[in-house]
Amino acid sequence: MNGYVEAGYLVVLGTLGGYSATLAGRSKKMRKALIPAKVEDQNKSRPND
Amino acid sequence: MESKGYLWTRRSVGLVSLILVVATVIYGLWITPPDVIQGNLVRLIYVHPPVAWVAYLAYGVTSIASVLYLWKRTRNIKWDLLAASSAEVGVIFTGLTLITGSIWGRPAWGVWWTWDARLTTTALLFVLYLGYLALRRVPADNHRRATRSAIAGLVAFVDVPIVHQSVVWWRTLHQSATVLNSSLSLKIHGVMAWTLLLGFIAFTFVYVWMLMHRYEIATIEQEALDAELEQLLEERQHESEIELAEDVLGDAQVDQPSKVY
Repeated sequence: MNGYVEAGYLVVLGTLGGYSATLAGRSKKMRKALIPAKVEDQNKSRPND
Repeated sequence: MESKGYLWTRRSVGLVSLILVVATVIYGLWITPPDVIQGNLVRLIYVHPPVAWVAYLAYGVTSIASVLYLWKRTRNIKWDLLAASSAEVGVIFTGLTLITGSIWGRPAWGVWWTWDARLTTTALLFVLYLGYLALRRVPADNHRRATRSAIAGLVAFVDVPIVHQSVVWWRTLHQSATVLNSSLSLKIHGVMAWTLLLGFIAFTFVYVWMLMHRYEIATIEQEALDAELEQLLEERQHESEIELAEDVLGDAQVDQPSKVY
């Protein structure tokens, strides 16, 4: 083609791919961090179990 | 939010987005024919208007969520988080609109950038929503932050119809709308029109997937912040109770008559 077209597609796919990876990584990390906290909370609310 | 159904929906949206984007790239780069006038440069049209549309959509969602937050009957911090999440995704897509437009402009107009009405209003839109995101970082309690952000989001949205109509209201270098023009007459046909439509659908799905992820992150961050604040308050209360007890004890000791002669 002419270089400009490829550059345009590359920028769009690269940016969206990078941002998607960041979002997926952050939400996965947060979910993981949240699970032990929730279990701990449940244990605190039921101390006699 | 963390239900299996929600996760399944999000994964499905992600998969569909990926398939649609790959199809758009294949059709856009290899299957559609070159244009009579623009040649291969026309292939950028399958990504540039769709990303611009998603930016409009994202800011539309931010505005609706902002109104829902400002309206007392529906006021909920979740609307504020949705508005912020959508604005962030919108900024990404506005940035892409500017970059792809610039890449198209260089061979078509001979310049990377010109202070054309469409370009200038789009750049202003980008800056306005960057300002919105910056405003959210100014420390304040939840309600104050949400209220001022909602107002800022609504003010910034005024630029969206201006961007869209700029090619009609002013004499611009930028071409007029290919699909959403005043006469609603399509200026593109056949496989080129279908590929453009595919691009619109693909990037809309990408936006939905990103919004779902960003909103989840915002919700968890908010919960963590609230929990941290609650813990800090508890600790402070505990400290002040100890201080009070120490003061009372100290006073009691002073009041006691000394036994040392």
